[in-house]
Amino acid sequence: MSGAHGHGAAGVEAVAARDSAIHRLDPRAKIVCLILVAVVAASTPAGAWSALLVQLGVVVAVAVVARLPLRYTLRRMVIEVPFLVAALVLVVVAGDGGVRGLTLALKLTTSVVAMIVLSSTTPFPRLLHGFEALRTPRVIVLIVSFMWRYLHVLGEEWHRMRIARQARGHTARWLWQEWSLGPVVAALFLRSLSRGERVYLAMASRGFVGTAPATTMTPLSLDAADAMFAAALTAAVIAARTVLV
Amino acid sequence: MTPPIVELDDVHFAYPDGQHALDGVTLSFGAGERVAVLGPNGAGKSTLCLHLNGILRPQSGTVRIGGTEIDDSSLTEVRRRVGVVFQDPDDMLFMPTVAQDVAFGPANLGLDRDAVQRRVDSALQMVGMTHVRDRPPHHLSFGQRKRVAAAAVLAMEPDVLVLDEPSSNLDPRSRREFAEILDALPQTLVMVTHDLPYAWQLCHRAVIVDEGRVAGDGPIDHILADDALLDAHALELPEGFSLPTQR
Repeated sequence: MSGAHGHGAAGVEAVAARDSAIHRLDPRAKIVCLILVAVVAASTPAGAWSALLVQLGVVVAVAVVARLPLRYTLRRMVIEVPFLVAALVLVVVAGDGGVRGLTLALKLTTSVVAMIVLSSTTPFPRLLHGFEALRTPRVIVLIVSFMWRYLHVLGEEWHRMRIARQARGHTARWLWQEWSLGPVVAALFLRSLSRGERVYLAMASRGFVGTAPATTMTPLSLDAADAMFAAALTAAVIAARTVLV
Repeated sequence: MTPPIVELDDVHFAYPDGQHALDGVTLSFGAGERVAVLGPNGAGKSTLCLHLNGILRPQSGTVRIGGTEIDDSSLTEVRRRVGVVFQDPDDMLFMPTVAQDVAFGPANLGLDRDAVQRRVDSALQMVGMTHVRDRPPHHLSFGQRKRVAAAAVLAMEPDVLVLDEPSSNLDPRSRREFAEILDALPQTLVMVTHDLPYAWQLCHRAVIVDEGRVAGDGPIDHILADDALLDAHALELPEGFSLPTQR
């Protein structure tokens, strides 16, 4: 636990910066197709096992082609644990709980793997560029890009404050020992607030008047690989959804 | 004598908490002049900077840029002509990549894509940061971020460059390299700093601001040689540093 934010954002960035056939695809192709997979999976009826398994197989295959490290991917998948617990509750409570619970688990896993593939094969600026090229309102893109950018700045600030506490002999290992957490969070909040104000002033200094201009330079271009990826993925999941149900 | 590009006339400004940050400042800077604004912490130096491009407006008195008073109608033009480089580059760099960040200013001016691209290229080249153009800012060192922040302002092609503590937090090499970049610029430079040798190296004129007023104004060689004046305003040359007798 050295870098407070190191494992999360930095880990994704490192993997997204690698190279594979999937990494090289146009971000738009990946966004549209992987979201489509998640939507089709979500609409597949309970108990259509072969369809559900094919959909999961498709995203896992993409992850394999992208050469995502297994341990990395499993660690990212921890995010779905709370939902799996909910699925487990379903198993216990509902009449046909077993079928519904397992269906939910499969759908979840498919969607989560799809999103891990998307975020771990596309460097974040490129991902944002993709969303912008898909006509996402620029203000939304700007807000997300702010979040990403300042997550790093805040993470560093958090880390520095943590070290400063340790330097003064603070050794809390468990959450309930963190009696000083409240003031620290408050301090971080106040720092962020004044940081936000300064960022706005700096933006205004550079002529910002409330409408975000386009700043991406090289236009994206779709090529044969993107078309093949899109066709294969779409055909596979839709065929599974219609034929195997 | 070239006509002044920046003119402040009896500028008063108080913050909402009642603190009088500027208490009747009258100053003018000529085109191409390089001025160091010196003074203790809380003297009103940063407040002064923020008046130069209309981020803050005087409660009384006027600020003119190139003869035009700053008001709502001249604001965009003023911000194009006067670029402010903030002390902390993380306050300035907010876009996902360096190139996109440098493009932000020119894009706000409504330039077309090619023109923006040219500005980005030349600004990054001026600060020697072309090789990091596609990287996110948090992958750069502090010194590199500082240079990119300067490029982000230079891409607006300003007539006046205002720098808040340009040398703070820089290691000696970055500090020197940043000075070399600034020294090569034709723009009017206004720099707020506590780093007196840095000010001496880059500027010809020094203005001392204390308690919201101008407490001294003249050639920097004279100002920095006036021990009584420096002492009266909590300014000190570093131990062991003496002004070279000639440049």
